[in-house]
Amino acid sequence: MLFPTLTFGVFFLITFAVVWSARSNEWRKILLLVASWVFYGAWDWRFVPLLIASALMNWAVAQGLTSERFIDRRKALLLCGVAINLLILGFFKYFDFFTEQVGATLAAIGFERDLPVLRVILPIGISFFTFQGISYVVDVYRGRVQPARLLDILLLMSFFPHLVAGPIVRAADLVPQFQSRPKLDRSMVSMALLLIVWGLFKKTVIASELAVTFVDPVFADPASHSALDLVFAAYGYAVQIYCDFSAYTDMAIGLAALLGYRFPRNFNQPYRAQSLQDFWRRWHMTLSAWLRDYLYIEALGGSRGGKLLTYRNLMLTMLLGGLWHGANWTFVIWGALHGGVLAVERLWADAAPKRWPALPGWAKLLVTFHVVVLGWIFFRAPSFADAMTYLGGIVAPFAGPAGFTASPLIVLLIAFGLAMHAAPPHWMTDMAVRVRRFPAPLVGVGLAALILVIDAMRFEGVAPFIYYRF
Amino acid sequence: MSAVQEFPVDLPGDPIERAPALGWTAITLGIATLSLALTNAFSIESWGADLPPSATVARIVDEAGYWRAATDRLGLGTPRATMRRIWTQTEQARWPAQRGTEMAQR
Repeated sequence: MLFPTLTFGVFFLITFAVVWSARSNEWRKILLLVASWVFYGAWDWRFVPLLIASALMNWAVAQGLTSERFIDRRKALLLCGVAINLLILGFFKYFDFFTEQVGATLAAIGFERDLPVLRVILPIGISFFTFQGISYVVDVYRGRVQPARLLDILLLMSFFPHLVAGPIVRAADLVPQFQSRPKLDRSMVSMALLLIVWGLFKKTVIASELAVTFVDPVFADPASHSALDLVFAAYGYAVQIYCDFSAYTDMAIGLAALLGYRFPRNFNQPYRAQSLQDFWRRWHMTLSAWLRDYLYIEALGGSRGGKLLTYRNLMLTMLLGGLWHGANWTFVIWGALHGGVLAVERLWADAAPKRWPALPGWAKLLVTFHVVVLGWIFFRAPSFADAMTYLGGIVAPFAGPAGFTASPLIVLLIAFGLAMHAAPPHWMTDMAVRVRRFPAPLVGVGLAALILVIDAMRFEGVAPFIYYRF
Repeated sequence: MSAVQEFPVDLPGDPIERAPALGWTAITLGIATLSLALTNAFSIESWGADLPPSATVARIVDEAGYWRAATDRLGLGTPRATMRRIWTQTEQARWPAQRGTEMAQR
């Protein structure tokens, strides 16, 4: 069930009416839980038990961590909980990849074997709910949160707005909100409606149009496109992935707010970043915070071991972050590029002579943006060889074909997608402050008019969000 | 709440605007839904046609078809159709050099 579809619209309106008509908070949560399982089951019912089992396991581990019986074995219990989470994720995400790699290695050294490739189906959102589970048990172990009730943990991990592609909402943020019946206010609703409409526009108009009519064909066959096409398609993909992913989280934040819950921000105009560190404070902010807190600091030690270990930890964090996106060498290279540049930035900050002049802000922005775009080429290309063909077409512009296949609309959408990063950071907040003063009928008609315009502009059909497969 | 997180739906506001607004929200969503049902029957019909076929879906498709014909008779579908036509023309627009190449290919 995809957000920008009429099926989801009907589902949400029914859920909204039923949930807000529940008198008690407990029934409200149960109804939300059932709605979330229906939402997840609409994709594949077989994985609903996996979602429930994952929540049950994390709840049980958290209970054990605060129980007198396990007082001497708390660390072992924590490691066990984290390991089970990682095993579930690893099996569904990487089993076939590692089997294929082992098979290829054995073949290369003359021991060719038929290894079992299970063609494992990846349950949608497994990374997101697994990360939530890990952060919950670690936070309970560290004493940052108290163990929550079973119903709250089930709802935390299953809540449908964030279930399949984030934002990663931690127990510390959401469980306290589950403790009493939430209240809606006009501010929350105004912002929620604007986020939903803006997300709808970014996904169905900008991301879909760019993907289908320009970016996908160029990345599918880079050798038969000119250097200009390749450069524009790389910029186009930068805009597409931002509009696709940020649209999902905008809508998720808006939908949760209409049900009375607040989700954290996940994007903040990432292409205006002036360093890669700044980029990661603006892009998929809940994942970068998760990687920082639980992988970089908790598991690897952060910057506690001196400069060399800091650089190593940055590199490892981003390599694993890349591998998290999928079992493909292109993601590993994407992670290595980000990790390497982050380490170089840190090294430069530590070692650069103080008297050297700093680059102007616009130059830092341009350099950062192009490093990110270079990373996106690896991220988007189907294979390492395809990525190299793509880059080869850019660095040797006269060797390939001539011409330019992007239409004026595509150029306009790319320009618009980049220009939105130059907008005042709080433009939507300012607009919501105005909207909340309007009478409900006016807001209703305005909302319908905006959705009608978007629907007239939207590309035929709705492709799944890019981050569904992660 | 964790200190580093920022919540986009937390707006600055005076107490009046923080009053419960479930009724205001329900009216907003109700009017938006009704307005879209009247002006966007095309999308309802397309949605019905994309559902997996069954006896119930066949009835939904029939009803959606009647609804679209009724709203079109009243001219309610015209704004969407006009906007769609303009957007399609924009999608099909090409640079002068591209038009020359397309003509040559024909």
